[in-house]
Amino acid sequence: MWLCGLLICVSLCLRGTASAQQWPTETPPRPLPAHDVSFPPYQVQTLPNGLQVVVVLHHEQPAVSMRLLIRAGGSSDPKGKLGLARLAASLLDQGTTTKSAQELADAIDFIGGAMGTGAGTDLSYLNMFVMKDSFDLGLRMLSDMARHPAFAPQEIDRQRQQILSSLQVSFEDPDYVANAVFDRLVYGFHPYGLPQTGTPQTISGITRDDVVAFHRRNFAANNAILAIVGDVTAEEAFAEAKNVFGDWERRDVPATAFIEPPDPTRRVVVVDKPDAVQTEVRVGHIGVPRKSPDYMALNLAIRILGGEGSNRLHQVLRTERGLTYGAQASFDTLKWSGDIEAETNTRSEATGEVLRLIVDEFWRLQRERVSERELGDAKAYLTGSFPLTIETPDEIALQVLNVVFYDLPLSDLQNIRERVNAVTADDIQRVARAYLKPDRLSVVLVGNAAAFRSQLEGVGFGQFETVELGNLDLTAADFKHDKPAAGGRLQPISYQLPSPPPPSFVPEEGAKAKALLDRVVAAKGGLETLRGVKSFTVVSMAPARGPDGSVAQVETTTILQYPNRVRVDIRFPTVTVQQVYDGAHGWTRDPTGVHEVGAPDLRFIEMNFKHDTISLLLAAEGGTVRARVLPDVKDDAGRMYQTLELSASGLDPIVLSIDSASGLIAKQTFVPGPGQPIVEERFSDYRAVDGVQVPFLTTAHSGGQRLGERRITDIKINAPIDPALFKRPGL
Amino acid sequence: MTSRIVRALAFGLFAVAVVCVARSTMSAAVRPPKLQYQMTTLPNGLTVVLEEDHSTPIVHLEVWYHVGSKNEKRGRTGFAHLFEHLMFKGSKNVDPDGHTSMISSVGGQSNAYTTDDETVFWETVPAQYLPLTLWLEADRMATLRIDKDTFANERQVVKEERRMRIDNQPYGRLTEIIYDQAFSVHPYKHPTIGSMTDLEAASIEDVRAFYHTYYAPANATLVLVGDFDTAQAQQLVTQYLGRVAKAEQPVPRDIPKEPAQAKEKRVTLQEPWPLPAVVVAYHITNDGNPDSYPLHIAAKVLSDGESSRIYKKLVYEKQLAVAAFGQANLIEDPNLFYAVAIVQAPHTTQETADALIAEIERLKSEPITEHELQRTKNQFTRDYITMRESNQGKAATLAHAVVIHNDIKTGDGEFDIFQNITIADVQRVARTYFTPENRLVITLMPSGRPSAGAPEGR
Repeated sequence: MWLCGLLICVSLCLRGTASAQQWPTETPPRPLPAHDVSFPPYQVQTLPNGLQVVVVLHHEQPAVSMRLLIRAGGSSDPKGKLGLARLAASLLDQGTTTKSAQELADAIDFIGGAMGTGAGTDLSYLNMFVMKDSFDLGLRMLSDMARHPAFAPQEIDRQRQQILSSLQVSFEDPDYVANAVFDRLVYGFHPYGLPQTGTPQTISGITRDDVVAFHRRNFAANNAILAIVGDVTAEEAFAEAKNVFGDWERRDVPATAFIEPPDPTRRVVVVDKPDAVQTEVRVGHIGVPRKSPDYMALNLAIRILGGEGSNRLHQVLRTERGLTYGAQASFDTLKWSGDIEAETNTRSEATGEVLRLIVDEFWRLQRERVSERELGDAKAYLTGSFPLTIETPDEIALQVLNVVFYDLPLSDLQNIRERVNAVTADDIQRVARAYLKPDRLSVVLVGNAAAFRSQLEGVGFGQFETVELGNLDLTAADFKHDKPAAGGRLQPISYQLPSPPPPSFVPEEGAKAKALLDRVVAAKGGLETLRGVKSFTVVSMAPARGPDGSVAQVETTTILQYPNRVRVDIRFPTVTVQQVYDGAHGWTRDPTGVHEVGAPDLRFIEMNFKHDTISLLLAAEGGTVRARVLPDVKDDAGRMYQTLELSASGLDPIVLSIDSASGLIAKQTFVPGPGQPIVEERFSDYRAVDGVQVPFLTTAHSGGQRLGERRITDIKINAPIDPALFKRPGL
Repeated sequence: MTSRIVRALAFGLFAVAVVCVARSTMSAAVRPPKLQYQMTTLPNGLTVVLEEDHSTPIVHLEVWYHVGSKNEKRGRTGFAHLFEHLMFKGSKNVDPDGHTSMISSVGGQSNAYTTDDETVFWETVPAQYLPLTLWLEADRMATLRIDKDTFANERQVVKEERRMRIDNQPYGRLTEIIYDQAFSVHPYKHPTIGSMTDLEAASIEDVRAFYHTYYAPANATLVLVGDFDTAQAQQLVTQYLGRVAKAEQPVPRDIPKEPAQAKEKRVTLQEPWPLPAVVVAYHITNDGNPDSYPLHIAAKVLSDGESSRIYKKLVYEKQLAVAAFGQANLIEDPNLFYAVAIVQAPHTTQETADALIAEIERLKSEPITEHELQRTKNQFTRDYITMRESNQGKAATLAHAVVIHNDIKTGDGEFDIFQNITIADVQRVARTYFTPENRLVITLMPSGRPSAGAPEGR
């Protein structure tokens, strides 16, 4: 159509061109013969003082890059001094004992060089880029900055002020806030969970002595790696490295001792930013450190979830629904630990839907074996992209430094193709089962809470904590400052000094949990009363699936005999069905006969025992079930609930919401099994029965659906029970 | 698929200008090697530039369409960029999003970006996949699928992109505000990402017309840099892209000219940002104009790096600003030099604006030093070399020379132009462009805060 009228002319004067109609239908062309991929030449040496030196030769452009890594970063920050490593690193190019900050800047700019310093989580670094004729000068400047920083008080104040101001901007940036809260949720009070940029309080409290001590402790030849990359010879590079760094002292570097990150827990934090038009969404949990033997398999699994080559999240959220500009999952592996994180952002109104879709993808990856095609795409990306990651000298240096820093075999640089291709779909399924915890996801939502708060219950996250952005405290267990900042916002920096004392980091969690547990037990009837309960005989109306498959409200009689026997008689309009469990075996009787209960149903029955309130409370009091206090939750009606999480080996976490006023359990939530959405049971209409508070109405919800309700019509405690009721009838 | 917008700049970080050319007079040894390319034009009008580089077994390909947001009509802003997204939504032989997945399935990368002046599509792939890459570019140049559903979906995606980049970021709207205040008729007035209203108004007919008008071979330049044999690559380019039909009409170039500003403009606005900011801007000339080179140097002396005058004075010495930066935005049509300072408490916006203007005035009243001139030239050499370390940098340099300068020789030639710039040249252009009547001063106050005492701006 778009060539109308010109076709004749075109075909006359442009042989070989084609209109849309004439354009051939064809498949993509075959590739040319592959070129060899080999890692560029590099050499690694260790100087007598312990400094590791990496040299990569690259002669295309007349320039040299240098990088010095120190094996200490933000994760070494002492409690109460968060931000120390960053502050120290930012000062390295702000003056040495012989050159002022301005002299350094002028010198590097004048020779057309560039330099940078900074600190990451596990390392600090200095970078230097110079023309080849300034190689020696550049290396000497690098050494001077690393070994003889002045840490002049006025420079410390200047950097401190800038960090404080940029923190203020960061706290308005939803992306920063979401990542920071996510890290805290996943890593808890492990250093990886704390804001290594510091907080206004910790930054204000850092002294020059702290900075000097950090530098003295960590900046030593045997704690550093130097990379020299570019238009030099290896002899030149090693000789210069010895000249300039040979007299750097070796020192004992203290060993790192970190607390363990917490076990993954299902927890949702909403950071309310009422002026946001989008919600930043983060979903994930703890992963593995870089040296894990399952690194490659899990890396591929997470790529299938949300990485290049095969990105399910992108497919579902962007391509199919247009809910976001981009969605990805990242697999961060650091020295001591790592995490798995899905991230995206979406318009406020779509928050609930996006969250549900992401959580579904975690379940799917664990539940279903990945297809060969998806795995093949993810592998092809990793192997094919390798030559793209070694194009420039800096990229090559990063690859080598990575291997040296994480203490991986140097052969890793050469055999990436083999390592990727060794992973099978079985491996993916194995690691997905071993490491993914879809029922214990940490979720962070930063946005306008009013626009999506009401959606969360419908997508299985009715229980969440809300923090005002202006009241966010990354170092508090509940993310809240003790008192809200005036005006609900961060104060201008100039009014925040001097700092309040740093908050204590490890609250007495055990004592708090015990106190709350005792309160719940007391409200329920008291420890002695509960211990005296040997059985329940309950008649209730509850939903049941009949022999024809339909679900109806029917009368059931449940006899529960502690510790582990139960009989349920279900009276359908035409037939009566019995389900019985005697502590080891289960059977059902219906008009077609007596049937053995299969393993899945047995697990279901056992789970119901474990979830029985009295059993749970007594086990928690006895210490066989662990109790933990989660932050208080306010529901839509404004009622406050205290929250207690109970878990044990063999018992996935079950979360009790406790009415603050009465101490009674208002609801409990749990995941009934792998791949299943969370279930919430709400208890109401409490009445006293022989001194025990019993909820006469229970309603169950799951995935936003109401599953049904159970209403008690009659209940007896410790009524006489005929043991024959639990005997299996003859066939 | 994912794409970026060049004018949307992050807080505190300004991108190095695309043309970064200079030479060092310190040592003849550091002059980087010249680019070694072959340039041809196919019968359908497509310009083809090939540069072999065998250092790594990969190939980088860029297609530059000479159309950007300045080609958009009022009421249809954001169109060039929206269209860039649609180019990933399938063509006769390629499924929607198949382009991206085919490239990534061989380990390659692909993306696109849109600026005021051009729309650029690129791929980097292992060298053996050159035929696939050319085939994919040809298929969408000739037979793009344009259907309602993908159009509607992609429009949503772009709106999310706008929310993410601009509306949901502190200072995200900064450049948008500067350009809206600085221009009256030239389309540089509006941001490349466009407005929500205009995006909503775009129709599928607009899309088709845009495609037929601007996505023609004669409006495109293909650059290949990497591990290939030039004769074989030329043959493959001809095989796949040579068959794309020639357009029936020449590309329109009817862009309104901005009249000269007659007197100084000062405005105060409110934005929901954490700290106040001030902007000082001047209208300048276009990229490639002889004055543009001394202006690059003036801008570097003022605002590039920690030894620049603005950083030294405002951030380091007086601590008037948390961050201060600036740039000469030298692009195809006359644009702006602007400097921005984020004000640090307890200083006022007035003090900070005065300090910014004083630094700019000093460029006129006293010559820059020999040391500053040399430093600036050496910094250009650095950028010039850095740009040539990757195939992508080389390709962008060549494409920019062809598309914006209409002279591929400028890719290397500007090196010598910079060599010859004198201190007097810098002072002359400062006096020509940095005049009070040519100046725009914007004060941006945080809204919705007790200290501002003003209602929410938007």
